[in-house]
Amino acid sequence: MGIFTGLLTLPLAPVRGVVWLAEQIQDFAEEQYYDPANIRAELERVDEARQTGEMTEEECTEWENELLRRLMFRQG
Amino acid sequence: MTATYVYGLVRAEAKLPSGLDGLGPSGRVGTIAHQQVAAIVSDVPTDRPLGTRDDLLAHERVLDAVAERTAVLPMRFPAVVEEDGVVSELLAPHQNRFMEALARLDGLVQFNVKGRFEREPVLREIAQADDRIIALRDQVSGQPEDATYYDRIRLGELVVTAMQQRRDEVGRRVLERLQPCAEDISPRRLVEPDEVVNAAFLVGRDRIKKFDDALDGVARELAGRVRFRLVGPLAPYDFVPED
Amino acid sequence: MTMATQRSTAGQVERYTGGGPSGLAEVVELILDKGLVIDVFVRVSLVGIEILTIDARIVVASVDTFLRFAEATNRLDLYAHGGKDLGDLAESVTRGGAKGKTSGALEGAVEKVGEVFTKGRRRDDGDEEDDDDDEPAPRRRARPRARERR
Repeated sequence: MGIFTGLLTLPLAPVRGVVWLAEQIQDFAEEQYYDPANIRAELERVDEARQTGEMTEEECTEWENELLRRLMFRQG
Repeated sequence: MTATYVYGLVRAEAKLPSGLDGLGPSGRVGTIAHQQVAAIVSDVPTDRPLGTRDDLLAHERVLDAVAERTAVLPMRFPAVVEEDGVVSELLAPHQNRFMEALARLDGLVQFNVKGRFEREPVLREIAQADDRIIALRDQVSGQPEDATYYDRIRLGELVVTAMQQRRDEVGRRVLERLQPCAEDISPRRLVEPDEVVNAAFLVGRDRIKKFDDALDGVARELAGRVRFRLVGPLAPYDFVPED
Repeated sequence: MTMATQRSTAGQVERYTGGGPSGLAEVVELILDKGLVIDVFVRVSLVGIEILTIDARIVVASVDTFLRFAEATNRLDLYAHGGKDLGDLAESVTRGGAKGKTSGALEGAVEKVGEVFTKGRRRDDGDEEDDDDDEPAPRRRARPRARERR
């Protein structure tokens, strides 16, 4: 019980700071995830995997369609 | 209201190849003409958004098959218009602009040339040409990564800078050799330091062999140092008029 | 009749001819970045269709690139049989080629290449990462984002 009382009286600023940082990381991760250059690079990897036979045709197509969905999704 | 997919634009009298496969449920590809220009069209899938691998490939295959025969202005993907709008919004208002562009592209097809350094031989030459690189290499080899972090960055920077200098020079000379065989060149962005060439070339249909021979020639001279990739003939994606 | 892409390696050039690119990555480069754009498109509101503009950001070599090339240099066998000096290499290309005047088109092309390296904002080169593909997809959030039309 004592612990919770303590938490309730913590000033807001640090909590805001943590949330802000988490958002920055989230933003960055999202940017990377939707970055067309990264998606393109990944598409090339799928091309290779298809050619070397490393992955099946279906796996490659599924992966490509997922990448395309990401590419086509526009934020904001 | 019917959604219509537009692949590209051709002259109204142009003959399209047979056997074109559209991205719509019917699979058919046709044309809608207005005066001197025609749009290459098809139906559109209605049950899902556009943008699958098959959609993209269908778009490109239609265009490249048409480009083998006749001048075509390719659309960017995706290009969907109301059926009524094909004439009233697309062909009629832009008739002159399209005719001019098609005239400029008459008898021309696009080829993409990509060239990339063979890593090992080129790295070797770069290292052997700079004592600092060899020295740094000796310093970092066998050492734990965190201890040598800044040394490795410095080493990489020296190598990358040297490589970029070489690729700029070699790339320029490749373009020089191909330029006489092409009507136009559209260089694309080089991303990695070992990319030497990445460009679209507009080549006359009657000069394809000459272009091909020129590329072959320069590729032979650079054998073992640069590997090349030629794609084409393509529709002139890189050479459409900008807004 | 579908065009079949012929892949051949005659001489030193890998050729994809007769049917366009073989890989989706290349197709994406062509039809998403290039091609005609008319603002009349998408007057029909079909689910999920967006006009795509691929960011024309400039890639400047970053620390990540340096580390990768340092690694490649470390792994190198320096004393394998030597080949032509790259200095000779550049020369041989000119010698072998027709001596032609640099025309306007080429100057334009070379300038364009130079332009690429000076225009635009910096960004960290993030390609070819050995990324863990098991990363969970970030939540989608609406966020305004400036886009550049090429």
